[in-house]
Amino acid sequence: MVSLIRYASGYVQFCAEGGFPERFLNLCKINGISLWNIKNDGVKVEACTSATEFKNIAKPAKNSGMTIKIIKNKGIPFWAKRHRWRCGAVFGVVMSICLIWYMSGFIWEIEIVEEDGVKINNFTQTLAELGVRPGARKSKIEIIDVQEKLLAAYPELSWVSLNIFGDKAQIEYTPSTPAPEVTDTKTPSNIVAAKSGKITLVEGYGGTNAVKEGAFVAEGSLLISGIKTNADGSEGLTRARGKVFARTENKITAEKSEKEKVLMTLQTEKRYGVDLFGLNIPLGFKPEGEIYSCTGISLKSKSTVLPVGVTREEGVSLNKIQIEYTVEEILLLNLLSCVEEKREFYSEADISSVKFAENKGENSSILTMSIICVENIALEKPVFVEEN
Amino acid sequence: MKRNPLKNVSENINNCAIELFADSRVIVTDCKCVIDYSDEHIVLNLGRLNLKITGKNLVADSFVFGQTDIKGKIEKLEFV
Repeated sequence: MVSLIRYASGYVQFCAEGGFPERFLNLCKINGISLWNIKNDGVKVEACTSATEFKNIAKPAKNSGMTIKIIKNKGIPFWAKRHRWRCGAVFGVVMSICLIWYMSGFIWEIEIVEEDGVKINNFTQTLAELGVRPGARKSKIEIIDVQEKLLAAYPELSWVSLNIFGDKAQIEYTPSTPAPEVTDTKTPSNIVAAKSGKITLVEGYGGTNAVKEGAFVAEGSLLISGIKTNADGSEGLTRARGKVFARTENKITAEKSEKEKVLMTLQTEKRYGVDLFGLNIPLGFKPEGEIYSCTGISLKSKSTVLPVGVTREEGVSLNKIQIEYTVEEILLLNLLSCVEEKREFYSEADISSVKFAENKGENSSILTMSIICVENIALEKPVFVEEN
Repeated sequence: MKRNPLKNVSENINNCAIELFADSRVIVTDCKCVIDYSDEHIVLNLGRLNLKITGKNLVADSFVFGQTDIKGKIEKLEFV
């Protein structure tokens, strides 16, 4: 500790030759000059004294006939004097320390922990609107306020937690479990046929079955009645529930013109930019185009995302040109239209046969697809009761 | 009457204090001046008596405001 203080204040190591060493030491003591590491080898006396007290050593040395020679100057004052022309380096060190201290007050990484892999749309954008984004000041983020606003913005979340670790903001959330659907058994309704067909299977869960297997029904016919007969012979209304499977025939038609305008991309413009601590520096003019997209890549240090990266903006200009389809292309496009129209519906139906018929129109081709399948034709229709 | 050999020492040293740490260090407080100084012996004036420290590689680690801190291989302490 004493050595540290001496080094911080600066000291001089000197040697004194000739004269009377003992008298020199006594005169230094009388004049209040503190000496240490005093060595006397019979020829010269070596000692150390502080830089400020060394200025007063000339008089005791002269009075004792000693010649003083400086061996070494040590300490911060002497070091600073030797490097006084390198103040820029010191300034740089001080500025870098200040810059690191200042930059550590910002958030540079956002980590979203999704429970069970459930992703929320536009979550990052909502966070940015609430002030949690790369480059935001940590002291300006009200954690509890952000958590409450996130829960209000996303009712599908049951719990949200925002934690700030250093320069990283970590958001964890848990999706809520939806309440099970309560079956409504009180509203009276009937089950009617959504399509015409031949009944193959009747599964009634509530109400009274009005048709049997093998019967032909027209669209709108009653399949399961909402009128039930009680044990005492009285009748009442209930909600009819069930599935009624019938063999139906369906036709889907698609038409395609032989000459059709198709959009094709002709020109793509790109612009790169540097993303530095939340500040995006573009390198060029903004790309023009009808379709605009922006992507970015950030540097990573192991698992830590650094606030430095490259962004790329792309603009696509579209130009409509007219092309002529071949016969095979028209057929395929018509087939695709037919399939896409009711893809989800027919994925649940049991298709037994499919027939295609192609007709030529004026500068167009018409494809008709006939499907025979077994499907659920039950359609619930509420019954409105007038109260007297 | 038996003469106390330390009597003169206690009368003449006054407020001086001598702290001896084994044979490697001695601190003398309130010494008046240095009479002789070398690697092998150091003589300090304590008032009416002088203290001679004999040894090897003697170094005055501190000589400030009457307190002298001497380090080295100390072989003998004498009052002369």
